[in-house]
Amino acid sequence: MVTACMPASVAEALYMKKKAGERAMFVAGGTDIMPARQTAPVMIYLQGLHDLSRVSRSGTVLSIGAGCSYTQLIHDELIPLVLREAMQSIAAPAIRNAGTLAGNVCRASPAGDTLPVLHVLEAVVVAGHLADSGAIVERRLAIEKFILGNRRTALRPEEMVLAVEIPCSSYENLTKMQSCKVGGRKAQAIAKLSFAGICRVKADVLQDVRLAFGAVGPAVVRSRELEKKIQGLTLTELADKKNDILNEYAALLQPLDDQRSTAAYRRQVCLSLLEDYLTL
Amino acid sequence: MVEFTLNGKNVTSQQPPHTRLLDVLREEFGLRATKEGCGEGECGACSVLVEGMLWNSCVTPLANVRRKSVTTLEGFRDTERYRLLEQCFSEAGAVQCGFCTPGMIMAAEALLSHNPWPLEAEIREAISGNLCRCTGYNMIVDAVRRAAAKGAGLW
Ligand SMILES: Cc1cc2nc3c(=O)[nH]c(=O)nc-3n(C[C@H](O)[C@H](O)[C@H](O)COP(=O)(O)OP(=O)(O)OC[C@H]3O[C@@H](n4cnc5c(N)ncnc54)[C@H](O)[C@@H]3O)c2cc1C
Ligand code: FES
Ligand code: FES
Repeated sequence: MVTACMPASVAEALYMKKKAGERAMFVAGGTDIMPARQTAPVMIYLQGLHDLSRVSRSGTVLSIGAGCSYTQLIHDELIPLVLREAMQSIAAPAIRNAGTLAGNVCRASPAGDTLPVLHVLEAVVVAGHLADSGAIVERRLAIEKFILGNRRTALRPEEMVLAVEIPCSSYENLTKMQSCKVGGRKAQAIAKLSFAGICRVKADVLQDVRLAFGAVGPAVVRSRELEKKIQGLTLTELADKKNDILNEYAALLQPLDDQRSTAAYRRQVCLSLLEDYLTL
Repeated sequence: MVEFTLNGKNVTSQQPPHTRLLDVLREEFGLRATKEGCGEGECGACSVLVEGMLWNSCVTPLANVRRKSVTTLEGFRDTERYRLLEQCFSEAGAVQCGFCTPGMIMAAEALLSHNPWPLEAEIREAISGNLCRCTGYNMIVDAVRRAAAKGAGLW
C-alpha cells in the first residue's frame, strides 16, 4: 500500500515527513524516481507548493527554491550564466520542464550535471524540518558536506531540502567561467565527465580560482588545497607552472571504466579541459 | 483520486497518484495518440502539454498534474494550428511509420506557441528529446519550418 500525500504547505509536507521518517519519499519533478520506478510506503508530492518555486536575491545571497524547474531557472536572469548553461546541457526540453535543481542535488548522482557548477559557486543546501513547536527549523550545509557519495546525502529522515543558496560574491566580477559536459551526444546523454571553472584575475594576478570535475568519482572532485596553490600566481607564473598543476590534478583524479567511458579517456579529457581553462 | 483538466474538460482520475500519467491517459481515458516508446523519459513518444509546456507523460506521476491542464494530441486535433502542422508534416515527408509523430507534433506546438519564428537550431533543440527511427529528422525540421513560415498569426 502506498499512501500519497499532496500537502498544501511546506509545513504540512514537513509534518508528514516527520511522522513517516524514512518510510516517506519526496517527489518533485519525478524524472529520477519515475524511470527507476521507485516507490515508498508514503509518497509526498511537492508539485503544488508554490512557496518552493521562487528565486530571490536578498542582500548577498541568491536563493533558489527547491521546486524550481530547470526551464524556469534557465530563463531567470538572476541565475548565474554558468549555472544556466550547465542546466541547458541536461536531457531535453520535456525533462527540463519537469526536473528540478534540488532533485538533481538530492539524487546525488556522480554524473549530476549541476553538481560541479554548484561546487564552484560555493552553493549551500538549505534543509528544513518541523520542530515540535510547529516552527520550521533550517540547517545550512555546504554542497560538499551535503553530498556524501553516490546517492548519499546528509539529509536527515525528518528533513527536506527547501532551497539551494548561492553567495553572490561567488559569481560576481568573474574573469572567466566555464561549464562543460562531455557526453555521447548533445541531448539526452548522461555525462562521461564534466568540468566547471571560475576565476577572477585582477592586475594580472589570479585572485580567486575554483575548479571542479564531475563523473570522475563517487562525488564531485574539487581541491581547495590545489586551488590555494594557484591563487596569487601572476598570469606568467601560471603559464610557467601549468604542467605542474596539471600533474597534481592528474594524481587527484581517479576515474573508473564503466559502460559510458573509460578511465583513461576521462582523465585525458579532464586534463585537456583544465589546460584549456587555465590558458588565460 | 486526482482532479485535473484534460483537453479542456475537468476530469477526476480514479487511479492512485503515483500512476504514470501515460497510463491514465491511455487506459483510463482511452486517449491512445500518446504512445509509449521507452517508458524512461528518453524518446518523447509520450509527449503531452502540461500548462502549455512539453512533458513526458511516462515519467510524470498523476499527482504532478493535479489542478493543471493537460493537452494530448486528441485535444489539439480540432485546431487550425494542428491542421497546418499535419499538412506541413505530410508535405515534408516527415511521417513514415508514424510512431513518433504525435510526440513530434506536441513538441512542435510547444515550440511554436512560445517562439513562432524559430531558427533551425531552435527547432532541433525543441525536438531533441523526441526520437524518430525512420525519417532522419531533416524532414521533421523542414515540416516545422514550413509550419512556422505559413502560420503567420496562428501562433
Ligand atoms: C531522459 C532523462 C535524461 C536525464 N538527463 C540528465 C542529464 O543529462 N543530467 C543530469 O544531471 N540528470 C539527468 N537526468 C536526471 C534527472 O532529470 C535530474 O536528476 C533531475 O534534476 C531530478 O529532478 P526531479 O525534480 O525530477 O527529481 P525527482 O525524481 O522528483 O526526485 C529525485 C530525488 O530527489 C529527492 N527530492 C526531490 N526534491 C526533494 C526535496 N525538496 N527535498 C528532499 N528530497 C528531494 C527525491 O526523493 C528523489 O530521491 C535525466 C533523467 C531522464 C529521465
Ligand atoms: S515513452 Fe516517455 S519518453 Fe519514451
Ligand atoms: S516516423 Fe517512424 S519513428 Fe518517426
